[in-house]
Amino acid sequence: MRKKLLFIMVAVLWLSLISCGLWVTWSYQNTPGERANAPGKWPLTSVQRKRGLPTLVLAIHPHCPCSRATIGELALLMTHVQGLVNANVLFVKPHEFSDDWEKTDLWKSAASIPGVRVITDEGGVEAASFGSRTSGQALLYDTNGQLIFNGGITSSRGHSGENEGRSALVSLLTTDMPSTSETPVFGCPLFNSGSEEPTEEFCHGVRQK
Amino acid sequence: MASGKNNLITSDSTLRLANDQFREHQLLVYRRTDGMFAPLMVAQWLAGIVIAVCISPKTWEGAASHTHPHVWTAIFLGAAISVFPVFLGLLRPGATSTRYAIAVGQMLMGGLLIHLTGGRIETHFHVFGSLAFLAFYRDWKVLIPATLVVTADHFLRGVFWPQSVYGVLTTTNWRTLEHAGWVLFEVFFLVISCLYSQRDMWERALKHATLDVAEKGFRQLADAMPQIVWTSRPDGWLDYYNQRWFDYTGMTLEETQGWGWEPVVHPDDLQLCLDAWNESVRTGKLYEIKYRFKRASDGACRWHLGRASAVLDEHGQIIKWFGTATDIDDQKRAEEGLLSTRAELEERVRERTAALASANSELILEIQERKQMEAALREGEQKYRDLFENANDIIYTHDLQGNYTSVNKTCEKIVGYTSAEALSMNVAQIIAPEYFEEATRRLVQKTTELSASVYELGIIAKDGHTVILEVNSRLVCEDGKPTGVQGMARDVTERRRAEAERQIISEIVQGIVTTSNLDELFKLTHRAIRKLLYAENCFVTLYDATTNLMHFEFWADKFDPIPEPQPFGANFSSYVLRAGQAILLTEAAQNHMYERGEVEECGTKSLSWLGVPLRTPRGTIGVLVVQHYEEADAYSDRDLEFLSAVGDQIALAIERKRAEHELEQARDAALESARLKSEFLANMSHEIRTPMNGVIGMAGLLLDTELNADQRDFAETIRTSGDALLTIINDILDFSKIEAGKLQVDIVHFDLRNAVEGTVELLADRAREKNLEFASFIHSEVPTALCGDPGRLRQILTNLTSNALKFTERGEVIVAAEKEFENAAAVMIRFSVSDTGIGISEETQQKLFRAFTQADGSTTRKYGGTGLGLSISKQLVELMGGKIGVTSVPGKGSSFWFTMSFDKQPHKAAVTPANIESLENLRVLIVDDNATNRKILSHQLSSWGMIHVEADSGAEALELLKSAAANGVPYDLALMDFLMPGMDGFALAEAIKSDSEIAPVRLVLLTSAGESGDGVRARSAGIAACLSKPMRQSQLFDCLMSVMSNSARSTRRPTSSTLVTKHALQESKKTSHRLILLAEDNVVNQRVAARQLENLGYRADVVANGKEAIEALSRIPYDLVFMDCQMPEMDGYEASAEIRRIEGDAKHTPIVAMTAHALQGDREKCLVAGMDDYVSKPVRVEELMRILATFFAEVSSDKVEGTRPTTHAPVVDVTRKEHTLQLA
Repeated sequence: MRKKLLFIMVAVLWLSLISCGLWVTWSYQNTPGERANAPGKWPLTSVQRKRGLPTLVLAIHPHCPCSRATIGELALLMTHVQGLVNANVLFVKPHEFSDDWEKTDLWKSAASIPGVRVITDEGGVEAASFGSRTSGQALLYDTNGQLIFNGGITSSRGHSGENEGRSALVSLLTTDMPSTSETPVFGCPLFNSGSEEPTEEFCHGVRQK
Repeated sequence: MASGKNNLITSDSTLRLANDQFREHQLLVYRRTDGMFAPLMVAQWLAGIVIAVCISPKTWEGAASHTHPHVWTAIFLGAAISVFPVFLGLLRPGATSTRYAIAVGQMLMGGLLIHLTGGRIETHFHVFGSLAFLAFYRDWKVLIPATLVVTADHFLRGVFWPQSVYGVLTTTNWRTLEHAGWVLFEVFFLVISCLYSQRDMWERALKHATLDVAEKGFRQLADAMPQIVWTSRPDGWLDYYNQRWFDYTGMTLEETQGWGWEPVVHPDDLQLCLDAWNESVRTGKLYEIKYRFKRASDGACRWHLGRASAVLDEHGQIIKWFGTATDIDDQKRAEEGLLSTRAELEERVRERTAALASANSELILEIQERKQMEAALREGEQKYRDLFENANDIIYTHDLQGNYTSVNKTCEKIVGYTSAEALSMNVAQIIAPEYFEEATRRLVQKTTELSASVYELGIIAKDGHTVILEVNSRLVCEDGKPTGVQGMARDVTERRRAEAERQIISEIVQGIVTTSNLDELFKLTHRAIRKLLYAENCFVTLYDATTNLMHFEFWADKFDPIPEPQPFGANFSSYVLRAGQAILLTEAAQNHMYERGEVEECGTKSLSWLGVPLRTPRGTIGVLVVQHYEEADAYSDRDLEFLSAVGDQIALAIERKRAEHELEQARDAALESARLKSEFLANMSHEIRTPMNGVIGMAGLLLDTELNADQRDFAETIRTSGDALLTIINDILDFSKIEAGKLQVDIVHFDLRNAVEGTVELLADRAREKNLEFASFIHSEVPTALCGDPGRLRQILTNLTSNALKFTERGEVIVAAEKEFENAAAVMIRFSVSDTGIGISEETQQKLFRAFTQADGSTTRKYGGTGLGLSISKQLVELMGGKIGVTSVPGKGSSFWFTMSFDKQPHKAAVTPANIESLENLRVLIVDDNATNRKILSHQLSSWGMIHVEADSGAEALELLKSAAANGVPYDLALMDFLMPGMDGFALAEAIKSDSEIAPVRLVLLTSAGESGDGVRARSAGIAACLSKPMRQSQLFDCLMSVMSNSARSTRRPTSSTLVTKHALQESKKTSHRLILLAEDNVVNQRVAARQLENLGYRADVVANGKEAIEALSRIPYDLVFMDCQMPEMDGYEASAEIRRIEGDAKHTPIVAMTAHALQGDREKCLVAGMDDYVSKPVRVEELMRILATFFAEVSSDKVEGTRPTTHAPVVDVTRKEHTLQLA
């Protein structure tokens, strides 16, 4: 009987320990990054717009593992809105790194998506001009240069699957009836916490207000 | 789990057993599955770490990076999830709590992995896979905690982080239900499968329990049985024995199961046992066999009856074999004892019966053998007796004293004594006296030697004649001591007689061959036949049909002398001759014939008379007789046969001698006939030639007078016809001589060049008439001082060349002589006469050299001739050891060739022309369109060391001359042909002399067609010399020497006074002071010969007979005498002999016979008489020239020019017309 009781106690303790661990893990996974302070009108940037097409700008940290899910979602998105949007992916490359540092598997995956233009953002100048802070930040400007969407296109950090951001972009580009215009962004910070674009900690986010 | 429905058919014990087995099996499954999950969870933990490191090793913040939290999560949280279940799986396998903990941990591990892979949908399959794995426990309750963990995960995250579960912040109940539904759906079916699995496990356990209970009952029953019981699998592998087996064999189950029973089976029965068992296993038939196997307790092998039958299932398939082995050893031994006793009795009966049968058989066999031996003895005795009595030879025995002790019947056949008579006789009584000594010696020898010997012995037969026996005898001994002699004697009398006859006949035949007359042959025959028969009285008589007399050619008789020839008729010899058969007469027979008057008594009367005919294929020619005056039966039939054979041989000999005599007579007659024929030919030759000399000579002289055209034509015809007739006569005479084998060659010294070139010169006119190129070519290597018959050589060359000229209408005829072979003493020369005439077909060539044959009939009609020329040439060539032949192409020409061998004149060196060095290195240009002429000239000039170049036309010559002059090496001489196409010799000469640069060259014109007046033209053209073709090599040499010496004296242009011709050359050599005497009785012939010599530049004194010739010679030292052979008062032979006698060795005046006799022998007759040479009438001027050239040496045919009745000296050589000079 005592053995049985001991066994039960050990079992409960084991389950509790596991529950705590899972809780911490799930919390980390569902915490978004810093949202972009994106300009409402198309900023002064080298990213080219196309006449008569809305322009999508996606800022990506080339080595962020969480952004692999974002590129996957972008591929799904483009299958629905092919020819309806001018898609651009900015790969932020800090000055410290040598050439082709940004040419990672993420770069190759993005470049292989039809209709997507891949751009090296040397020193993150372009991303900064769009106010992007977190890898996976997507911004959609309409044909008039008005910002119509600001957020991420994954449901949690590095988590593939159906999410509101992707659904909102599909709706904006196909029916002009979006369910939402802002979603949280899950990914690594694009800039160091001590740089000009302040980040309090790496990979944390602010929920949409 | 023990179901109550089984209770109806299953006992409680069985159910309990089944339940135990079920539980046991269930626990086994739990333990096995726990054991599987423990390592699986560890592997999942490690896989999580690998996934985290690969997918998200680092997290980034701008340019800074850190280890990703997923890595730490995988390590620590993964370890936490797996450590507890793994611990339980290893320490408490099979426990209920263990599998529950494993179920919870497995599902938590799925959640962690989904998180680490970023929620990839593929990782969600881990959840469903884990549920399926948990179903391996076959315990549906394990699925409950697993399902609860999934439910709790979705519930908590749906509450706190709904977007992490469904991708949106808000969700519906239906979405939750959908997620839960998939899990429940799987769990439902997994629960169902677990329930079915547990039921199957229970039923299996129940079946096993039932079988176990039945097996146990069977084994108890089997162990209780007295037999050995066993079972086996369908393949024959024994898997069970009852206790009786183990007790009997002392072996364990492990040792004997399967095929382990083999060692205990008796070795004699093992193979039988295995075969039967394998057969049953293969076919399924009943197994039944008796065999022995060893009992462990005492080692005895006891007999058992083994049986086995197959247990079949519902499909007829064998599922098991059930067998027994029953001990039948006691029964078996009882049966064997009975059988053994019975067999022993039967064996005894058989042995006794066999012994009786064997004894009986041996007895019968012994009786039979004894009978056979007796029969064999009798048969052997009879055979011996038959052999003894019927042998062809006498078989005898006698004791050591010579008394016969046994003699066979053959003795009576051979010597006439019966066996009884012989047994009363002694050896010494019957031995012929001549053999007595030899027989006595051998008899003594026999008593000391045991070996057999063979010898001949003469025995006096009962009728008194001697029989020759070949005796083979040996000594007979008893107990080592000689007791007598036994032997065989063969009659060899006939054999010895036949040998003697053959010997005598052989002697006679040999005598026929070796003796030359019949008398000797008869004597020899008489001596021979006396060796065999009595022939003291013997004679041979031959019948002469013409006189009807019998001549006695041989006679030997004791009483009567040789009689005179007797008329054919009334005597015994005539009787034999008439009958043609041999006759043997006794006295009685003779008397009988006397009495009948068939014969008459003649000479001494004989008691025995034997006569044989001498027969030839033509009939009986005589009789050979022997007779005996004292003995009545002196001769036998055998003697008759022998004497007949002798008579045949004598007859043949007589016949042969007669034939030889007839042959000799015929030969003598033939010789006489030939002699008469030769004499006739000689007379005919003389009689024909004498008038022919007048005809031809006078015709020639007539042609040299002033004649008009018709007269000249008539005279020409007469002369030509005369020549033709003379040629025919000469051919016929030569042919006759050849046929008679009387043609001989005269070997004298001669000059080959003179002979060849002389022949060519003689025929040059004919070539000129046809405008043919005609030349002779003697190679410089050919020695010219030779020994041979130049007359015959000239005859052959003349014949071949005449033919060539006859059958050639245009082109050339070349006579050539080249060396074929040479040694120190002799040389073989090949002569050839080549033309460009009509040629001869292959077929005609085959018969060309036969007598009276020409190319064809049309040839004869067109060209004339006897057809004997080539045949004679062939005979002459072969007579002189050479060969002759022809090569020809119809239409292209022919080349006749022949070879001849000549001895070289001893110590005769080649004559080198004087001053030849003055010609050496002179540069000469040969201009001739004819290649053969160029070749001949080239060869001649080369032999003199001259440098020459050839040109085949005037234009080329001009070019060469100019070129040489321009180069500073002008030509010294130019030899030019007259007739050349385009530019002839004159034109070329004028062209040369008109050019000052080349004008100094000396020009020599060679022509074969000169005309009167050409000399003037030649001189005006600047030609230095003019020679007619064909020319002798010596003439060319003299010409060139003359031209070059003239040029040396004067470099002026040649004038007429310096023009060199043959005539001019000969004039310079002419010696008219030679004295010639002509002895000829015929006035016409005197005139002809004198005029011919005069025309040749010689004066001849003429006398009418030999006596006058001797007188003239005594007064004037003539240089040459032409002597007719037949003259009145003193003929040429006598005169020549007398001259030679008078001159002796002090002087030798050449004498040349001139005769109309042309037969072989005449020449020899002349030479014997002391003459030096010989010409036959009619004398041709060419022949006269040859004679003069021979004896005066410097004379040549060119002398004729000196007497040519022309008004001025000829410019062009006119040798071609020499025959016309006979006119003189």
